[in-house]
Amino acid sequence: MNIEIIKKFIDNDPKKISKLYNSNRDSFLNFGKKYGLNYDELSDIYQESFIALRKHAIEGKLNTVKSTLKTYLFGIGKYKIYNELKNKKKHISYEINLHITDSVLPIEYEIEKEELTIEQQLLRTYFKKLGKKCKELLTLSFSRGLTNDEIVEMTNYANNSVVRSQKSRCIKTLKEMIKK
Amino acid sequence: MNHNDLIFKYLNNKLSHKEQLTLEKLILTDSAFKEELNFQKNLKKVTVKEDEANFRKLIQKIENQASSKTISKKLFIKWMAVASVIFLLGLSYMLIPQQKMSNETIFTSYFKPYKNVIAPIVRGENKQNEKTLAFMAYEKGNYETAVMRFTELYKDTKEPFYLFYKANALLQLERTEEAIPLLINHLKTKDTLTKKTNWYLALAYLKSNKTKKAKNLLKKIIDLKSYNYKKAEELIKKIK
Repeated sequence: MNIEIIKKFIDNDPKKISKLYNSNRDSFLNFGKKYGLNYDELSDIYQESFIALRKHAIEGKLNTVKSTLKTYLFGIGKYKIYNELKNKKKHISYEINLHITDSVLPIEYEIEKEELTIEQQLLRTYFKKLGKKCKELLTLSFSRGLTNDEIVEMTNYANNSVVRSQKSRCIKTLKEMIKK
Repeated sequence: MNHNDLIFKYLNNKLSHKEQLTLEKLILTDSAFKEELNFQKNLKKVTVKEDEANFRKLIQKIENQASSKTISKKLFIKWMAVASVIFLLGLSYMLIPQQKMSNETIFTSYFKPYKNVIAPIVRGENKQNEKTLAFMAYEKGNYETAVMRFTELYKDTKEPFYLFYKANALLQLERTEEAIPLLINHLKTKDTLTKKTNWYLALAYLKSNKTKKAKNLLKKIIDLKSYNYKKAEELIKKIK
C-alpha cells in the first residue's frame, strides 16, 4: 500500500486522519446498506474497522498489502458486517440470499481481548503521570515503533543522541515513580 | 549491538536469527537484561493501549462531527452549494491582501539557487577542469549534470561548499528530501558559506511541509540577524 498513507497513521496528525476517515465513510455506509444493517450499526462498524486499519498500519502489516486503502478498509468492514449478522443469528449465506455481488474480500482481524496484567495497569497509571514530552516520545518509540532517527524526522529533537538520552531520562523517571 | 537496540528490535519483530540467539542467551545469563526486557515489554503494551485509547477518542470525535453533518447535509445540500460559492468568492476577495500562502507557493517565490561564488566563469579563459565544468552546468541551469559533478568532486576533495551547491541544485530539481541532509551536513562544517545554509534549509523544510522546523529555523535567522533575515521576517508571516 502507498507508504504515504501508512505514514499518516504513524504521524497521527488529527487533520489528516480526519480527512482519511471522512473520505471513505459515506461510500462505506452505502456499501453496508445492502446487508440490511442500519445507519448506527454501520457507522459503529466503520469506526471499528478504521481503528483496526490503523493498528495494521502501525504493526507494519500494510507494507506488503497490494490493494488500495479503500479495498482493505472495506475488507475489514465486510468481515465485521458478517460477524454482526452472525450475532443476529441470520444463518444464511448472505451474498447469495441477498443477491449481493461485490468484489470485496473480507479481511479477518483479531479483536484483542487480552487485558493488562496488574503490573501493566500500575505502569499505565504512572505513565499517565509523566510530562507531555515524555509521553509523546515514549509513544512514538514504543507504541509506533519508530527508530530514533525517524523520531528526529518528525519532531523538533535536534538529533538522535538527544532522542536517545531524553528517552532514557523518561524511562528512568518512570522507574523511579514505581520504586517510590 | 547494545542491549537497548537489541530490545528495540525484539519489540518490533526485527531481530535477525543471530540476534535472536544473542537475546535468548542474554535472557538466561543476565538477570538485569531480563528485567529490562520485561520492563520494556510492559511499557510497549501500556503505550499501545494508551495510544489506541487516544486514537479511539479522536475517531469518536471525528465520527460525531461527520454524523451530525450527514443529517443536516441532505436538507441543505443545494442551498449550501449556492451559498458556499458566494461565500468563498466574497471571502477570497476580502482576504487577498493578507492571504496566507501555501508552503509550496512560498518556496517557489523565495527560492533561488545561490549564485556561484566559488569558480567565477569568465568567457574564453577557463580551463575545462572538473570544477569549472560543474559550476558551468550549475550556472547554465543544467542542474542534473551539476548534481552529478558536485557529487564526484565532493567525493574527491571533501570541500564542504560542494554540499551546499549540490543541495541548491537538488532544491531546484524538487528533490528536497535529498537536499535536506546535505544542508545539515554542511552546517557542521567551517565553510564560509554556512552562514547562508540556514536560509536554504528553512526553505527546504517548508517545501517538505516540515513547517514547525522551518519556523524555528527562520526565528533563529531573525534572532541572529543572519543571511536574509529581513526576508525571513517577511516570510514567517506568510506561513500558515
